[in-house]
Amino acid sequence: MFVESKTISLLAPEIILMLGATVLFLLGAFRAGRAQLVATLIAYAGAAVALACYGSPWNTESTLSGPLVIDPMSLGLRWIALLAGFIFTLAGSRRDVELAAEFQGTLMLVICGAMLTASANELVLLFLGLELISIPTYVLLFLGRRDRASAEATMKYFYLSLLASALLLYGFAFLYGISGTTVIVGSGKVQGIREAFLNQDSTALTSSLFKLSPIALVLITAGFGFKLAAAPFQFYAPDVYQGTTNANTGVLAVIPKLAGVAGFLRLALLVIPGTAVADKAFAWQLPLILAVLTMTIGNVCALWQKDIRRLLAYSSIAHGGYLLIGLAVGAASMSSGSHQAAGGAGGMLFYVLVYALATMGSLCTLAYLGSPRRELSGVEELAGLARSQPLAAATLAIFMFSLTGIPPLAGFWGKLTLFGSAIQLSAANQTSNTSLSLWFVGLAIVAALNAAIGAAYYLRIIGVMYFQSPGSPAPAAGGRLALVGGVFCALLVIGSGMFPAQIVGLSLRAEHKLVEHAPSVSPPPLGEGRGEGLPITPLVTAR
Amino acid sequence: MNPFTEPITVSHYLIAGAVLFVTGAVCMATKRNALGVLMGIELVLNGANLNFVAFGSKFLRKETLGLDGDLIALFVIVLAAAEAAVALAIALNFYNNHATIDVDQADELKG
Repeated sequence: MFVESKTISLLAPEIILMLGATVLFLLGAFRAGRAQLVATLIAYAGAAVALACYGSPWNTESTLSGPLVIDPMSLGLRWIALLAGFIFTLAGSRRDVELAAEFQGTLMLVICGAMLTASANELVLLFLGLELISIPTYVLLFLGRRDRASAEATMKYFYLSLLASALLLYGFAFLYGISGTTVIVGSGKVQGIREAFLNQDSTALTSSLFKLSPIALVLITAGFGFKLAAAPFQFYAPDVYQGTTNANTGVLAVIPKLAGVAGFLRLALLVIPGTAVADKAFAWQLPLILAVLTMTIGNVCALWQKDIRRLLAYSSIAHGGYLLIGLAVGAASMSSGSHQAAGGAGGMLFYVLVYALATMGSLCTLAYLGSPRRELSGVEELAGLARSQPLAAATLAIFMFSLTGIPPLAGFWGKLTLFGSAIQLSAANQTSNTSLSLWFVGLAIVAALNAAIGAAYYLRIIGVMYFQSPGSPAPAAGGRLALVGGVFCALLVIGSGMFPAQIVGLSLRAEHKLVEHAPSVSPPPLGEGRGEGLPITPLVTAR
Repeated sequence: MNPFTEPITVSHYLIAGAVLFVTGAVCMATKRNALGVLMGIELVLNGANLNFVAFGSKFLRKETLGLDGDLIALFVIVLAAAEAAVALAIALNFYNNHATIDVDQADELKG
C-alpha cells in the first residue's frame, strides 16, 4: 500500500517537530544560546498552526487516512501534547544549563511520539509512536543530571519500560494473529481489528483463535498500565521521579499518561467485545480491580513522603487509578453488547487533561523554585514560600487544590465526571445485572474515600507553604519563563474549572466518535442492535 | 502422537515464541549484570517477533495476510537496535557513577 499525499499532509505537525528537533541537535553543537530557544518556540508555533489547519476538535468528523485517524480525540490529545511541549520548554529554558539544546530537541521528539500515538489507527504506528516516546525519554533522564541517583533512576526506568513495551508487543502479536490485520478501525472494504472482533464467525477455521483474546487483553492492559503507572507496574515511579530533575519528572508524569490513555481507548475498548465471548465479566473486572489497587496504593503511600517528587509520584499513581475507573466503566458497557462507552472514555479524556494541567504546572513551578545546581526536593524546603515567593506559592496552591478536587477548579469536574459515570452505569444496571451494579457502587465508594485520603497530603503541602515559618529560602533560579509556564497552567486550571461544559462536552463527543460503529462497514450479524445501549445522560450538558 | 512424524504447525512456532518470551522475562528478573538484562530484553522482543511471523504465515488461514507480520518483525528488530544503543550509554553512565554494572547496586532510591 502506497502512502497517499493526503496522509503525509495530515502528519504536518509531527514533521515540523521532527525537523525542529534535527535543527536543535545541530544548534547544540555550536552553543547557540538564545537562538535555540527561539528555534524551539518557532517549531512549536509552526506545529500549532499546522494542527489548527485541521479544524477545531469541537466539530471534526472522524476520517481515516492510511494509518491515521483524525477525530476529536486525536485532535484534542495532540493539542494537549503540544501544550505540554510548550510548558516543559519553558520549564527548561535556562540558557546556561549544560546540554540545554539537547534537552529541548529530545523533548520535541517525545512530544512528536505522543502526537503520533494519539492519532494512530494501525498497530505498527501505535507501537512506533509509543517507542518514540520511550526512547527519547531514556535520553532525557540520562541528560538531566549525572550523579549516582540519576544513573540509578535511568537504569530502573529503562529496563522496566522495555519490559512493558515487550509485553505490549506480545499482546499486539496476538491481536494481529486473531484478526489477521494490523488496522485498528477499518473503513469501506478494509476490515480492521474492530470489525474482526465484532463480526466473529464461529464457523470459520480461525474462530478458535478468539480464545486467545483474553491473553491479548491482559498483555495490552499490562503494557498500557505501565504508561499510566498503574499497579502492578507502579513501583518504579517514586524512585525514578526522585532521581531526576523537576522538569523531567513533569515529562515522565504527563506524556506517558497521555499515550496510555490514547492506547487504552483506541485499542483495549475494541478488544473487549471479543473477550466478552469467553467471559463477559473478565473484561471489566480486570481494569476495575487494577483501578482500586492503584489508587489505594498511590494515596496511602503518599501520606508519609518527605520528598516532593516522591510525593507527586505517588499522586501520579493515584491519578492513574482514577483514570482506570473510566476504562472499567467503558469496558462494562462495551462488553454488554452496546456500542457505547457510557461516559467512561469521555471522563478519562477530560480527567487526563485536568491531571496534565495541574501536574505539569506544579512541576514547572518547582523547576522555577530550584536552580540548575540544586533541585528543590524536600517538602520542608517549601516552608514559608507564601512570604518569599507569593506568586509561586499561589500557583502551587491552585494546582494542589485542583489535584485534591476542590469545587471551583478543574480537578473537581474531572472527578465528578469519572465517579459519576461509575454511579450512572451502576444505576442503569440495577435490575438487569445486580452484581455489576454492586461492583461499580463499590468502586465509586472506594474512589471517593481515596479522594478524601488524597486531600490530606495535598493540603499538607499548602500548609507547609502558608503556615510554617521559613527556613532557608528557595533559590528560585530556574528562569523566569518557568514561572510564566506555571502561571499559564494555573490560569488554564481556573478557566477550565469555571467553564467546564465546553470541554466535558468535547470529551463526550470524542468518546461518541471513538466508539461509533463506522457506517461503511457491514453491520454486526450478532443480534446486538446499536440503538439499545444504556441510556446515559451527560452530567454536564454539552451545548 | 509421534512428535517425529507429525508435521510442524503454526502452533509449534507460537509455543517456541512463548518459551522465548518466558526465558527472556526470567533472564531479566534474575540477571545481575546490566548487559545480561539487556540480553533478556532481546529474547523477549524476539519471542514477540516469532509470534508475528508465525501468525502472518500462509499456513494459518485460507486467505494470505501478505507481508504484514514479517514487516512488523523488521520494525521491531530496528527498534531493538536503537534501544541497545541507548542501553549501552546508560550502562556506561551507570558504570561511571558506581564503578560496576551490577544492577543490585542500584538501591539508593527508596522510601
